[in-house]
Amino acid sequence: MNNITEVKSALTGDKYYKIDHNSGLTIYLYPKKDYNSKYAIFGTRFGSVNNAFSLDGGEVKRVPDGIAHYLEHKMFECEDGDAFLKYAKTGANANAYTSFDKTCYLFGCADNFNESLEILLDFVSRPYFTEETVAKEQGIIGQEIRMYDDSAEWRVMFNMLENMYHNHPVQLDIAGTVESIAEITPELLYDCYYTFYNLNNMVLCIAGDMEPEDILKTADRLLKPCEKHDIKSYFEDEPYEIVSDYVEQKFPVSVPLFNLGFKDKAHKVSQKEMAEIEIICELLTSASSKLYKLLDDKKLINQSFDNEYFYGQGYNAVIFSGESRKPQEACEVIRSYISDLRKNGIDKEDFEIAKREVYGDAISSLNSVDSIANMMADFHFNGMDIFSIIDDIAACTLEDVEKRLASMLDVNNSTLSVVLPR
Amino acid sequence: MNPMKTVEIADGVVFNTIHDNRFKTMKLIANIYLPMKKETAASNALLCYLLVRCCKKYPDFTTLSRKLGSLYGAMLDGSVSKVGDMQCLTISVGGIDDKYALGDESVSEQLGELLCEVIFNPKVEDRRFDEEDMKQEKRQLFDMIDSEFNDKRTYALIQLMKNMCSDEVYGLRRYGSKEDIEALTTEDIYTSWLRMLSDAHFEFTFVGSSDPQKAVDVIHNSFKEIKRTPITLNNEVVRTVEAQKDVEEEMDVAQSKLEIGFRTGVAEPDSETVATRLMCAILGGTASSKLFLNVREKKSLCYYCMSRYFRLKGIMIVESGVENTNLEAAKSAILGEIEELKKGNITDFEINSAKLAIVNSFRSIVDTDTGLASWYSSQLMDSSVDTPEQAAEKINAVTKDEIVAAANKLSLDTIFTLKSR
Repeated sequence: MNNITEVKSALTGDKYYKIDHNSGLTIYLYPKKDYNSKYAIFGTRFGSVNNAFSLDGGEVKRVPDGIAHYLEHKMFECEDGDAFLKYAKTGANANAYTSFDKTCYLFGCADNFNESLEILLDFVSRPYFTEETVAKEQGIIGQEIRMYDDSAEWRVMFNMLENMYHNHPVQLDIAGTVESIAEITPELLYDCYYTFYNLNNMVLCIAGDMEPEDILKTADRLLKPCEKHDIKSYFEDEPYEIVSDYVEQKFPVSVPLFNLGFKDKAHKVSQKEMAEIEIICELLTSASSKLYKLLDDKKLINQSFDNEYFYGQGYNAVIFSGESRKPQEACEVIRSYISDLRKNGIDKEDFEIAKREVYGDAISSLNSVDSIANMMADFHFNGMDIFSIIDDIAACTLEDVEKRLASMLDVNNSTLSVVLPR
Repeated sequence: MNPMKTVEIADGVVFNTIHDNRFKTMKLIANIYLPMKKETAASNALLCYLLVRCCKKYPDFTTLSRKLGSLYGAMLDGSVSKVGDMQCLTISVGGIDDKYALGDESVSEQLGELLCEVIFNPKVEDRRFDEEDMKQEKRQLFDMIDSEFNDKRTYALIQLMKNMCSDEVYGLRRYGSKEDIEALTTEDIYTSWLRMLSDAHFEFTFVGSSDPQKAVDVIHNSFKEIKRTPITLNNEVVRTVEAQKDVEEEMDVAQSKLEIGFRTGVAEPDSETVATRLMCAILGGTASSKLFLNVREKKSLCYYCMSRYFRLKGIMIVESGVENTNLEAAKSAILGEIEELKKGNITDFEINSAKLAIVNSFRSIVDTDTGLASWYSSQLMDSSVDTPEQAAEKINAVTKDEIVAAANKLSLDTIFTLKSR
């Protein structure tokens, strides 16, 4: 029997169903009445950082960099034809992506939802790789890697990650390199597939106007029970300290770009902590913040200024990014502002405004079916819940946030990466 | 049924209301249309960004941002685009629906007032805008123009359009030129503001669950004081090609970009735009299109290869990212697929999957507040305003003969190649 839990949000009046499906898969269904479109995302906890792993305590396998992304491309090729061509008969808008810590297959559609869901569950459950099809993909992925080589934003980030991490694979390009993907074979793809694409390691999230029973019928029919295995990823020891505090690269750009990263001690982030971190990040980049004013008055940033909390298995960091004519000066202002803030504490009104901003964002994110489904998948993999985090944000106090600030954003453990015009 | 209620509240000033309970947010958008001209493009663009920087009531950027922050991170945004031969200044506000406010304040009412404040009561003194504010916004505008060069795909597209439409109003940059922006004074911006209030065509659109009547009243009263001489919306379409252009630029990039521009001979409000749109989707609009399946997948010639139709200007473009050594092969493969279309070598599968994909995108776009507003505003110059369902019916009614006819109207205008060294 499937175990179904209804989760309600008193604040928003919305609800979703969480189903522990008897196949081992966790399913989230979020009804959105009167929406034309539905959106489904089927994801596994397998990303570019999982390049060394073991199954049930067996030997540790080291696989070529970029294999999770390669596998994502190859999954679309089925024995009975290309999955994109199957979707072409339903009209669904389908895609997939691989990030540092997960691979997700998704589609959105206004009509023929059940047919599209069948296609999704079917092709992700049935791997089909041959020497020939695997070799063919090298050309297209090679082109993709070249395209990212031309992206200044991509380069400025990876240059920074290389300077932040000594050993952790998060510094490696998600797609790997032309050399590393040349080592990929059908056997290696099957190894990865049967390790990580176990339904117990996966999640299915759907948002839209739907009858949950219909979806469960399809899931019951297509998903065969999976035995649970112990999957373990291995990472070399990573020192707390950064590698080096500055790197630059010349590029055909006209406005310099920067990434300023604050490396944090690697740890698992709790939901309450996440709420506090989001408020701190808002406090440091929102247009209403004192730091933004300081940088804007000195003409050191523009509207592209932003930051994110970057975290996953074995890595935690705060990354500031943007365009600046004087990136080093901008970076000095940010570092000294953070030092002062840690010393002098946070202004009450500043805190209240940042908290309201984060709260408003969390409410707005429940607007569209694609944002809801993507968030549910993300939150599931991080052990969080999209409703109760809003309550955590609303309950956050200035003391909580000040305490959190004291344990993060270590100015002496930060690194700057810039891309400069040629 | 069209859910949009439209009232004209002054000469050339329209207020559209789309009442919708589905969203957690509200949005009020002002689309302000002015003629695109070299002499005024820069000052109109800078005006747009100055208006959203601050206003009389909230006289600096931080005070205004803190007001928005306290309204649960509400947004006030300005942007500039080209719509046909018009320059469109978009100023919008958005925030959470009143029922999610933690106190008893009305977010939507306050945001409606704020939008009116920034349009009608900017920070002006002695018939000029503030000097320091202008300097800041000039700097940001320069950064925006320069950063278009940072992304090579965007840059290549801009170069294609610039070369293809060099003799047309549409060839002008949406922000005007850097030289023109540099030369602007605070008095110039003031003049542009007055001209905007008297001459522009205003389209306000509200999407949300509450009643926007207060905003309507404020806008109505504000325009009472203004002598209106509204412009008529204008759009000249070039339908034929006199001489084909080939432009090449070299740069230190890893991957070359190939951009091909065509005249389609068909533009809004022609009824044939429906068939041209479908023809373009069959060529390169979906993952089952000819360009995706044959040029990218089968021949592995490029990472991306797709086509887009600008139905107001009657222009179709094909964009792709290619290795230098494959440039010629990719070009002839793309042109070869177009020949197939012209000859009528199109399968039922190709037609049906393109129809399904287009209908799906029509029906999905109205599932967000912004998408809903833009669905209707994008039909401003069309012959009729359709709901997604009505537009879907028209797409589904297109025959293969009409698709082939649309393909046979294509004429190659300009090829722009950004070549890696």
